[in-house]
This record gives sequence, C-alpha cells and structure tokens, in this order.
Amino acid sequence: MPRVAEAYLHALLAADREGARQVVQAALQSGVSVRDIYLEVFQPVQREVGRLWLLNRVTVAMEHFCTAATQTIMTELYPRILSARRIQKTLLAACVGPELHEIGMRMVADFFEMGGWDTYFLGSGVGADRLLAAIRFRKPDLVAISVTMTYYVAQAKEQIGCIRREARNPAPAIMVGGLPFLADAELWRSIGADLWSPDARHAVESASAWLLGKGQTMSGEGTGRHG
Amino acid sequence: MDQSNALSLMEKLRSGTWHRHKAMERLPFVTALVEGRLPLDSYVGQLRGLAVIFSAMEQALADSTSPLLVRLRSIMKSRFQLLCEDLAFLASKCVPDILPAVRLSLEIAAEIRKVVLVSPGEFLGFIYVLEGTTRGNRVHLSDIKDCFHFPEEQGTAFYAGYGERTRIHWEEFSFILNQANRELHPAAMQGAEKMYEALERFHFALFPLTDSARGLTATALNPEAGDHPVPRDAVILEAALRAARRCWDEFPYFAIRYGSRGRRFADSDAAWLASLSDLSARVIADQVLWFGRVLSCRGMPTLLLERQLELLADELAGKGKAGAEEALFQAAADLRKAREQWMPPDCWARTRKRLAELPVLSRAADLPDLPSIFSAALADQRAGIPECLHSLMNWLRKTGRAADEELDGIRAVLAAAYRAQGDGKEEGGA
Repeated sequence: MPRVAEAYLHALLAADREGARQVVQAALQSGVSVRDIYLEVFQPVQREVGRLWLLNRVTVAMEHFCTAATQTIMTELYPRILSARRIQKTLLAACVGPELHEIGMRMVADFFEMGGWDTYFLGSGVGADRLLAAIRFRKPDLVAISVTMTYYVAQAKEQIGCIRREARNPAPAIMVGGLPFLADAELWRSIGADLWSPDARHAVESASAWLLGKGQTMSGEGTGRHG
Repeated sequence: MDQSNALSLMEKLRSGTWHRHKAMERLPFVTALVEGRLPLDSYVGQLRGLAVIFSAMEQALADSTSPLLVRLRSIMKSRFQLLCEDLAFLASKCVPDILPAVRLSLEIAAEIRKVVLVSPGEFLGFIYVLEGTTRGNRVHLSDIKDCFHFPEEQGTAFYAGYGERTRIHWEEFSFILNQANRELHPAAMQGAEKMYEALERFHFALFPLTDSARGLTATALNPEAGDHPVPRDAVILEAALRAARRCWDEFPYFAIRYGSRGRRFADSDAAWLASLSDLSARVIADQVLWFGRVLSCRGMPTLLLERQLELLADELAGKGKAGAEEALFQAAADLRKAREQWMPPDCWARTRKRLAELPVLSRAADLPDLPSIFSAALADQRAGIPECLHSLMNWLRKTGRAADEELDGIRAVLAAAYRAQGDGKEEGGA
C-alpha cells in the first residue's frame, strides 16, 4: 500500500487528477478494499500534503487541488460504499469549519456507511440552526461533529449545548473528532461530547460500543461487503 | 459549416456572455451606485471581496508557466494592489464585513485556485471576466466619485484601473487571449459563464444590505488570510493590531523581506493569535507550536512569534483580560524555554556577536536584527526545523545581499555554535 499511496501522491502533485484516479482504480482491481484505500492511501496522502504545505513545499492552491481531487475520487467510490447491508442506525455528520477541511468528516461518514449505517453528511460551515433542523427531521442515533481547526472548538461546544437543550426526544449520542482533540485528550469531554474518535475506523467501533453500552442493538453489524 | 468556429475567442466570449454582462449592469448594486445611493458598506464590501478574488487570480497567474498566461501576466497591472491601496484608505472608516459576500468571495477564490490546475480553458474565461471589469469600472468611476466624494480621489484606484490606457490595454489583452488554442474555447466560454454567475451572486449579497450577517472577518484585515476567526471583542482586536505593529517595528527584517503583503499577514496573524486566548492553555500551546513551525518554514524563526506573543500579552495588560494575558505570556515563555534548551543564552549571545561582526551582516545597516534572526534560525534548526535557515540563506543569495563565500562565513559561525553546544549532527544552512 505505501507504493499505491506514493503513486497517488505523485499523480496529485503533478496536478494529474486522471492519473490519481487510475492509481485508485488499479488498486481496487487488484483486490484492495475501499477501506484500505481510505486508510492507507487517502488519509496518509492528505496528511503528507498538509505536511508539505507546512514545510512551504507546496502552495495553498496545490493543497486545495489535492483535497478537491481526492473528494471527487471518493465520490466515484460511492457505488461500492453504499452496497453495505443496513443495520438500522443513523448518523448525522457535520463540519464546523470551512469546506476545504471537510474531507476528514466525509471519510468518517463513508466508514459508517460501509458499516451499514444510514448516513447524512451536512457538509461544512454548519450552524446550530441547520444542525438542529436536521436532527429533528432525521432523528439520528449519532451526531458526529468535526472540528479540524482549533478555533472552531468554541463553536462546536455551542452546538453541542444546543443539541442537549433542544433535541431530547430522542437524544442522539454526540461524537466529536478532528485535530484539536488529538492535541488535548480531555477536550472532547470538556465541550460536552459523549465520545470522540481519532480516525474513521475507530469512530465506527467506538460508536457501536457506546450504543451497545446504552442497551441498543446493532443488528447486522459488521456484515457490510467491505469489512 | 459551423460559423462559430471562424470566430476568435474574444468574439465568442463577447457574444456568448453578452446577456451576462447586461444582467450585471442591471444588478441592484449597480443601479444604487448610478443613482448615488449605494451605502459605503456595500462599496467597501465589494472591494474587500474583489481583493480576495483578484489575489487568487493574480497568484494563479504568477505561479503559471503556460506561455499564454505568462504573456498575459506581462501586460496586466496588479489590480489586487489597487484594491489594497483603496482598502488602506478606507480602513479608517471601520466598516463591518458583509458575511455572505465574504463567504462567496472565498468560494470564488477557491474555485480559481482549483480551476487553474485542472482546466486551463476555464481559467481563461475567469480572466476574461475579471480583467473585463476594468472597462465597466471606467464607466462607473464617476459614479463612485459622485456617490462618496472621497478627498483627492482616494479610494478609487481600482475603479480607475488602467486609466487612459484602458482601451489600448484591452486590445493588447484581446490579442494575446486570441492566441489560445481553439480546443480551449469551449472551456473558456464555460469559465466565463461561471465567473459571471459567481460575481452576480456576490453583488446580490452586497446590496441591498440587511442588518443581520454583519461582522468582522480575517479578510477585512488581509484579503489573503482566508477565513480564520478574529477576536469578536474590539479591545482584544485592537490590542492584537497594536502588538503586530510593535513587533513589525522591532524587526525591520519583516518589512524588508516581506513588504506590504507581510504587513497584512502580520495583522491577520496577530488577530488569529489573539483569538486563541479563550482556549485552554494546552490547546494554545499546541497551536502556537504549530504556527511557529509554519512561520519558521517561511523564513520567520520562532523567536519572532515568541516576541509577538509577549507584545500581545503586554498590550492586553490592564485591559481587564487577565486570563488572555496570562495564557499568551505562558505561550511565549514556553517558546523561549524551548529555544533556550536548544541554544542557551550564553551561546546565543556569543553567536549573535560573531554574526554581527561578519562584514556581510555588519554592512546591512537596514537589517540590524539579522544576527538575532540567524541565531534564532539556528535554534529552530536544532529543534528540528532546518527550513528557516535554508530560507534565510536563499533569500540573502537571491536578493544579492550575500555572495556565496559570505554565506560560507555565516555557515562557519553557525557551525562553530553547533560544535560549542555539542551533539551537532549537521552544520549550517543551505
């Protein structure tokens, strides 16, 4: 897989979106799972692009291009993702920050989808009103909030407070994720979340464990085709 | 035979987007401007949003190696600079942002950055529309003057654009754009449509104004800053901007190396730092560390951030923001402690003195802070950030401030400092 990730990165940095797509398609045809593409290619490559920006070796424009290209390629994988068997659980996912940082949350939502959850991703820059309206309409088991930049933590805290006050019946579990929570292990608790996750795979596992701990069943769990 | 194939790109663009052009002229924003009732807030909002957009377009042009774009760039004036000039004049009016317009301008800028890489044809369409505004602006320059009566025609540089040269410039521009490969024409048409539509939405957000959706964003301080938060509390924001100015004055290196663009980033970065003060000490420390690395990789050693934090905390003293003051002082103290771990004060003083004695640095009278900057860059290198030293060396070389043998002299002093400190696994910079 590191070779696939390397080839994928190489194509992206050459602004070759078609080449990057072909790298992913070739890996899938050789039997690599969608989960592994996400965890072993998309995730490390996104981190590497971020690192290269930090080191001033790629421009903001290139960083944005890489993110946009990966999002497009992820979209093309949806027919494979959406085929997992349903487990009658619903995830509502939202990103507090701007569009360019929503890719991590999108990956998390896709992992839930692969785990058989019905997922609704509201996108980026979601305010409390929009989030509450969606919660009332979808009645999710879990609300996942992504905070990729530390300065949006306060906004996430406000949103969690709103959900706690306004969405009581049924009250969804609230999970948070994103870079600030990696830096401060207690931050998720301090802003009122029920659980947090460092990555997409762990998010599905910990959400399932949390709901089981609350006496809920996870029917059909883990029977998705891409497990 | 398809007659449209015989047309030049400019002819296609003009006829294909004529309806869009006419629609722009009928926008409520333009009508209000012509009738002399456009609020100043809408005008400032337009300039701020266009600064975000033109900055992205000009940067995309500057990064491009396409011969056609290089030729276009060679005849195009930086209208971003004109916008900055106007905004500098209007800064004293303290106009709040129109948030939906800011969001739309950031979206357009993001689209420009993406399109230049994936669809050169569309990018040509973007340029056609954006550069074309110079002609419409000439028509409305008198409306701006009549509407706002700025003294000595200040605040109108963007609308004045190419001035008397507008027609000639447009002919040159058209001539070059018409050299574009015919295969790019359909995409260029699509790009022009897309940009017109985006600008329409942007102008609808600017006027008529609503009371809601007002506030201050980072783009008001710096059109290139993106959408990071700034303090909502005016006292904290003003303190941040004063601290930025003091730090800028303390280190002439900033102005000489980074110029007016750096000055704008100094303001927006300071505002961002101040916005951290509500967070936990641990999160602040983590963010400061990350940001210090970002700056260091761009040639600003962590020492400068350390000083910036000290000044910010100092500016907040006595303003009833004790928590923020303490958190920022602590963040500065952490950076100092880390720096001194890699370069204790005696080693720092010795290295600084030796560097100052080098002819290459002693003759740089405009840069008295350079020995400190180099010493700090060495500390950063020891802390695992070699990029700062590389960046400094490259800058001195590229600007002709130091010859190769003089750079060797700097390397020798730094290497000696390394050896004196022990465990020096590598020596000097690039």
